[in-house]
Amino acid sequence: MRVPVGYVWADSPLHRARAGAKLAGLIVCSLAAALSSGLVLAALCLLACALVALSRVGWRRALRPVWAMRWLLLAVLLMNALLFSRVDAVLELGPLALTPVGAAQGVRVAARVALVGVLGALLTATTRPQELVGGVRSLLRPLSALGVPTEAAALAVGVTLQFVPTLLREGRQLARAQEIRCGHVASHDIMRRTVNYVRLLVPVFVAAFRRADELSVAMEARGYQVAPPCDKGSRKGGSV
Amino acid sequence: MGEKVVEARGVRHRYVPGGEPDLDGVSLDVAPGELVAVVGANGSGKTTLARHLNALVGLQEGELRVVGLDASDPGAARELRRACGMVFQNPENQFVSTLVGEDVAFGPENFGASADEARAAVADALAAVGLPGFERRSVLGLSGGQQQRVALAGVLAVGPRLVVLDEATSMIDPRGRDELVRAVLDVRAARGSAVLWITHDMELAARADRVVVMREGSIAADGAPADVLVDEGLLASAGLEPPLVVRTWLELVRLGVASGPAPVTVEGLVSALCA
Repeated sequence: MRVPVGYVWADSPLHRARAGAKLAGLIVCSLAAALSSGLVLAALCLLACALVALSRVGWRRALRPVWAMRWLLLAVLLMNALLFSRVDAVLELGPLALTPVGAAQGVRVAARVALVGVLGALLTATTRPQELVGGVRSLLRPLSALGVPTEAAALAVGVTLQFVPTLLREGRQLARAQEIRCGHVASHDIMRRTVNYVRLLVPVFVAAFRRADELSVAMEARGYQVAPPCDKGSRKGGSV
Repeated sequence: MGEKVVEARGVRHRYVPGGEPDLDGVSLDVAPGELVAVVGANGSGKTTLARHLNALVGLQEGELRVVGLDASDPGAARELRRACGMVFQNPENQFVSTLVGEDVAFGPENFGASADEARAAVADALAAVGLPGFERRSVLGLSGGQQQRVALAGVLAVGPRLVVLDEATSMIDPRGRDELVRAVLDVRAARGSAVLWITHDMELAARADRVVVMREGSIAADGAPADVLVDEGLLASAGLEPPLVVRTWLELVRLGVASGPAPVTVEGLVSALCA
């Protein structure tokens, strides 16, 4: 049996908010984070903290993506700090130069990535998958007037979300099977660890393609076609 | 001929052009309301036959009519899919929505039903499979048997005259299997739909009106369960073995404890032993 991944059962203003509004908010905040710096970026970080507190999903859950990306964020911080500039270098070592302006740039980029990660986690923690699909559908609806296949896009999002728990479960099973035979996936040196993860990825991708194939056959059997003769506008999230 | 739900004559199919046929001259009739079990080893052509009925596989050779529609006519594919619904092996790989109601409504909406029509069809179909009021439930929280019944409801919501179940019980537990079997039998009784049940489960095949045994793309036998499922040699040649009830009876006959034709169901075995 699959369980919704990411959703946290709680009652908060964020849980009660419409999925479309939350999605739009995420897009706006992400764009603002990408384009802003300094005080505006700090204000956005404060806003994210306030939303986490308001959401009742817990700091640990909200900050999970940041923890998962910690090595990436550290790499971003270090690369910017050491490679961004050579002006007023505090420390120089060959091609590397540690500069205050580079460090500040590293903090900004890392903060932007972390901010988007936290806001994304908040969205999935306070929105059920089916509500999220409904949100995508409502956001895309205006584009249908331009001939964009919004229903197919919403369906694709829904199906993708639906298979995430299954693929995660399969990944865990494969990791366990690998542990039994070869030891822990995350153990050993970095090269061996990389090889272990690649070994995991191949069967996970194969399983994903197999599932996608089976689903497409099942959808075809149920009369689905990309350009149907019927009015696809009759399908609405939560209409039934 | 016109009364049949399925009329297949000499259907032949090759996935690899010039290769060995995956279906080799299959001829089969299914009458309205009939429950036909199709058994056979892996690779014997069962699924290829099923996919022909739903126009998922194009007809290459032979004649095939499903509810009177000519399967060789590409223009009839859509109506053919409305008339013949399919339930697949893995319930998880059939859902397009995490909400039961939305998923069941997928078929009716694809065939042009309005929101009201779809809502009514969903309610009817869920009631038919014993899951009334499940519209707002998440498919993620259902048992395997319930998920497979939701998949069946998704097929029934379109109102098919033929329901094909392609190894639909092979990935669910015994309790889920029993729930699905009961739902299918109830639907058949209430709606008169014909059922083609592809299965490895010989106990399930024993409950059908007819059993079709497939071997290397051909039909090796087609008859009543009481005739087909007791033929050890035939079943062995198709990579199968008789149901446990039949094997038990044949062993009792060998021991001289029982005599007469072998029963194929537990109820039949009890009756024969108590007679």
